Amino acid sequence: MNFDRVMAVTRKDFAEFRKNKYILMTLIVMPLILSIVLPMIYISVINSVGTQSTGEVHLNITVTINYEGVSLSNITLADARLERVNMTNCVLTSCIVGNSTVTRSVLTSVDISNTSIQDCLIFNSRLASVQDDGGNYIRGSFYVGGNDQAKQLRDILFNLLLLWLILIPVMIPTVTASYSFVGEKTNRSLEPLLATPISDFELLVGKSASIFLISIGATWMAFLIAAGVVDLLVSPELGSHPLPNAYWLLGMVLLAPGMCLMSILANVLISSKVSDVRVSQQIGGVLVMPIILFFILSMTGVLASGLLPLFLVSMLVFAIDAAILWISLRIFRREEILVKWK
Amino acid sequence: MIETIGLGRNYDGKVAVEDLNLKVNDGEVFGLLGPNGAGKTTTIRMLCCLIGQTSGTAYVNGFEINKEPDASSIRSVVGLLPESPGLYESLSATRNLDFYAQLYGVPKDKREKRIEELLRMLELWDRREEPIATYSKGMKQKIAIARAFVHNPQIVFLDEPTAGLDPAASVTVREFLLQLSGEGRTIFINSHHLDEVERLCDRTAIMNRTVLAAGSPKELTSRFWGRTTVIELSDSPERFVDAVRGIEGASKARVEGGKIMIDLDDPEKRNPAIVDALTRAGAKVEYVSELKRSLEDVYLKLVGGGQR
Ligand SMILES: Nc1ncnc2c1ncn2[C@@H]1O[C@H](COP(=O)(O)OP(=O)(O)OP(=O)(O)O)[C@@H](O)[C@H]1O
Ligand SMILES: [Mg+2]
Repeated sequence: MNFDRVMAVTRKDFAEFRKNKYILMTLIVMPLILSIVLPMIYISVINSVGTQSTGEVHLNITVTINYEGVSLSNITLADARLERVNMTNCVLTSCIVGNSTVTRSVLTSVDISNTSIQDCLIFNSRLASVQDDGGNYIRGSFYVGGNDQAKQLRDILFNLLLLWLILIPVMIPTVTASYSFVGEKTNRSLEPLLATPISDFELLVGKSASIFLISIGATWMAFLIAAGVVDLLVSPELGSHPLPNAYWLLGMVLLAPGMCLMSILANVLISSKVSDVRVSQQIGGVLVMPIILFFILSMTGVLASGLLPLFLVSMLVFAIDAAILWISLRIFRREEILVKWK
Repeated sequence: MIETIGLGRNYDGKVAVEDLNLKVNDGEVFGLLGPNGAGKTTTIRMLCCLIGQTSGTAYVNGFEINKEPDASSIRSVVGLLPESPGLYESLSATRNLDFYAQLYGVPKDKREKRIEELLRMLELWDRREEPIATYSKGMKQKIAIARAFVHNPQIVFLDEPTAGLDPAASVTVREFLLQLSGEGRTIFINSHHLDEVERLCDRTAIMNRTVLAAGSPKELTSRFWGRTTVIELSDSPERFVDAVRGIEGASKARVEGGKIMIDLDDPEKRNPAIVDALTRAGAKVEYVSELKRSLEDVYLKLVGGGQR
């Protein structure tokens, strides 16, 4: 493989993409819409998680004791106000806790703010800017400990949002690949191109690379915007910026490129059999997208559950990519394309 | 050198080219003539290794067509102007040419020089940065021709280079080709434009599926018609034609359109005696000339379509 020729094709395609308004629109508008609208839908779900889990909180606290700047352990307190207090193994009922740390304690009907909490049981309490052991702020009141259900649920929602955003690297190639491959045919530029020393494989790689790079570029921009939107909307409630987390980074680095390649290669297969840009795009939209979407959705349960499944599914995607590439190379025959023009 | 040996191609059983035997020497400008559907484009495509042959074979610069690794070697020494220009419409002329030069591995400084040289020769240097979409059909054709030469190829195949060009542009392109045909470069032209082939080509072949005739334009015309002397008299040639028929080698003299026509093997040697005989018979000779047969006449005779 001659790398200079591959690069020449990729650069030529870039130059063409830059001049194509339709492609520019696809690259900018679609990711922008998805990366802003999808997170907004998700945020409303994510935000509702915190408050829904225990329903309304009614506190009835009458403060009778004040503690400030002390350490307490192994005591039971009721109707107390605690400021800058270090508590371990305590049982608090009807208390107001602020700017403190609480470890291995049970809290019932407590108004907690700006406090770090670790391995505690919390019932029917109001929490504001509370920090758990994972460094995350939580709100509402629930069971808190090593196993934080709300945090888990929220993480799964974040994961789901990432999977939805995988739509972007899948959708962009249905537009760009059609232009890139069918365009060469309708333009009749394939004949002089194939008369040069470039090999079928170099041409396929060069053209796929240009589509891949712009698709992944747009995808990463979209992911970062989506992460920004999530952080912006969530941080007032949580007091932190949860995205991008490890799951998102792995998704961006592995799953998105894998799915993007799959979409490109599937569209190349279609393009080699079709001689009209729009027909190719329609087949891409009607056939390829749903199949890929179905693939993602059927895997969502497994995929969203954590890093390892995400990694394994990404590897599976790359394996499928290799298989389609193998088929493409057998179908992408210069003679066929020139002779069977229709 | 290009040599085809019994080259043939079917499309789904339909014969496009069969038993084609051609030889084009190094440095020659060769014209392939033939009616629509004669298989000219098919021939060029086979020689450029774009499509496979179904029978026979061919050698381009000693490399066998459609056989790796020979095909790669052919592709790197050959330039092609296909039937349709196939340029990238949104890109400029320089960008189009530069892309092709890159594919042939021409280094950057040489690329720039070569592109400037070609565009200046084709009178398109001033518009080099405009997108091809804004060019006229003829201008696009010129850029496509320049593209075939951008890597200084040893052999260039041009499929109807002046199709769609106005007379002035045709002259520009013809001069361009003549200029570039030096340097030992072989130029293979497909054409309908007989006049052009006659002026441009050292040798030509007329084909319709297979070669009907080949040779230099002059050879072809004399081979098919011999040479003919035309004599115009001031009056009634019928009365004097018998006087001509008596002369050795001129027995087939005839009257056509009020002129005496004599097919001769050696007109320079026979003409004086003929004129002499006519004068002696009392005829007044006004003109003695040679009948000009063009390649077009050969072409029409071979491929049909009426005779002049
Ligand atoms: N892709 C193809 N599929 C089927 N038949 C083809 C194809 N290309 C050419 N032919 C047939 O092969 C024959 C020769 O075609 P070709 O294009 O080589 O002729 P040509 O001499 O270049 O004609 P023109 O002067 O019109 O360009 C024609 O009968 C044509 O119908
Ligand atoms: Mg043709």
